[in-house]
Amino acid sequence: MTDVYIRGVGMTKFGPSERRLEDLMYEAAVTAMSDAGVDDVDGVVVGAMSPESFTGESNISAFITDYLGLVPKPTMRIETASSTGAAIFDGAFFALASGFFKNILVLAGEKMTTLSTGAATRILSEVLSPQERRQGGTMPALAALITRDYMHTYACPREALTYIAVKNHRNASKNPYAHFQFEVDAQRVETSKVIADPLRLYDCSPLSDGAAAIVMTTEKTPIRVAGIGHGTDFVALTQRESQIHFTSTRVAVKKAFKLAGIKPAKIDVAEIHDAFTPFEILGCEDVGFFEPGDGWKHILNGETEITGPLPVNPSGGLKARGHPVGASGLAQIIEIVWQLRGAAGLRQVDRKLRYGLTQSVGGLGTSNIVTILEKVA
Amino acid sequence: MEPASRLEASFCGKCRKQFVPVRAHCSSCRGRTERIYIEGRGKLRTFTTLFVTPDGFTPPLVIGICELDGGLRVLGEIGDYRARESLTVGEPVRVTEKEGKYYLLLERPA
Ligand SMILES: [Zn+2]
Repeated sequence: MTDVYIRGVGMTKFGPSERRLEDLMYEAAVTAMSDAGVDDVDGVVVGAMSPESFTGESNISAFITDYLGLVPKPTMRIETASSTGAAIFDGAFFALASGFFKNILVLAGEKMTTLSTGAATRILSEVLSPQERRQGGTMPALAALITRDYMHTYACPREALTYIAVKNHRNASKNPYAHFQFEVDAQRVETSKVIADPLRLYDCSPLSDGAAAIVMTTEKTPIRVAGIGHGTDFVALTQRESQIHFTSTRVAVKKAFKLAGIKPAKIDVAEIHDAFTPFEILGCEDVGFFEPGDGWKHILNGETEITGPLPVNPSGGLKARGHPVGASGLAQIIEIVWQLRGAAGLRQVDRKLRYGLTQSVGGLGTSNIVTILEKVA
Repeated sequence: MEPASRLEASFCGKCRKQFVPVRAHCSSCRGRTERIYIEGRGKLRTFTTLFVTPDGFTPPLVIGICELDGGLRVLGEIGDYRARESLTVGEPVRVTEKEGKYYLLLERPA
C-alpha cells in the first residue's frame, strides 16, 4: 500500500451565502490547488448530500469537474449523509493507496439556506428510517432521545451540554471561516428555544452554506494520512445494539488506530462531530479518549479546551463553524491540517502537535468515519 | 380488564432474533423471517417533546422509545401530550399499533 499525504487544503467561509453551490465549490477547489501548488489533478471525488433537493442539481460531479476546467479527468460523487465530506476522503485515500493515482482533488459542498428551515429539516430527516419518520421523527428529535438516554444512564447534567456550546462558540469566535463568530454565555444557551427537549437551539448546529477541498497525493508532504476507518449501523435507532453510543464510530476508530499503529492517548487534537452538543461527549467516548459515561466529567473539567491537554473542536465544531452537511467531514480534516501545520491563527493549539483525529457521523450514526493525520516533517 | 397488547413482529428461527417493525429478512443471517405476535408491554426508556415538527404534525409532539420486556425497543408517539411534564424514564408503558404507527400508552393508575 502506498502512503497517502495531504498536499493542499482550501475552504470557503461557512454560513449563509448569496453565491451558488458551484461557485462555493470552485473557490474551495482553486484555493486547495493553489495551496498544493498544482494546476492539474488525476481525478476529482465530489461530495454533496442532497443538491437534488436543496438546489435542484444532479450529476454534480461532472458539472463541477467541467466548471473547474478539469475535463476529461475521471470524477464521481460519494454520499453518506452527514459524513459525506469524510467519505470522499476515505474513497480517495484507497484510490491513491492502490498506486493508480498520484493526485486527487476531493471537493465537498452544500447549499442549504435557499430553502425555509422547515423544508431543509424535512430533507435532512429523509436519511432516517421510514418508520421513525412516519412517527414524526426528525434529526433533533432522535438526537434528543439519545441525549436523554445518555444523561439518564450516566447522570450527565445539563451543564455539560451548555459548557460545550459555550466552548465551541468561543473557539469559533477566533475562526474567520466560522458561521458563528461570536461568543455566547451559559444563560443565553439555557434560555434559548427548546427544539426537542432536552435539546435547545444552542445545542444544535445551524443550517449553513459552504464548501471544502483537499488535494491528496502519494508524494511525500509534511502531513501524512496515518489511519482511516469506516463503520455502519442499522438505520433505525431502535434496532441498534446501543442507542447511547455509536457502534459505527467504535468500528471505524478501531480500524483507524490499527492502520496508524497508535493508541488514542497519542492524539494531540481532535475534531468531533458535534451536530448536537451531546454528540461531542459521545464522540469523545466512542473514539476512546474517555471511558463511557466519563466524557462529560472530563469536558466540564476543561480538558478539551484549546489550552487543555486534549483540545476538541478548536474550529468551533459543527455547532459554531457551521454545518453545510456534505462539507463538514472535510472541513474537520482541514482544521486538523491547519493545526498540525501551526497555521490555525488565534485558535492555534500552542504546543508541539503530532497526531490529530477527526470523527464524522453520517445519518445519525449509520455511516461513521474516523481519520488520523500525522505531522511527519 | 384491558386486552393483552399484541404487536406484530418478525422472528428469525436460526438466530432466535425478533424484529419490530416487521422485516422480511433477518438483519444478521439474511434468512427469511416468520410473522409472530409479541406482548407489547415494557418501560419508557427515553422520550422527547418536539416543539418544531415536520409537516403533517402539530407541536407539541411527544415521542418516546419503549423497551419491551423481551428487550426489543419501539419508537412511538405518546398520545397524551398533557402528560409530557410528568413523564419519567422507566415508567411502565404499553405499545399499540394503528395504521402503521406505534403509540405508547402510559400505564398509570386512573
Ligand atoms: Zn437470522
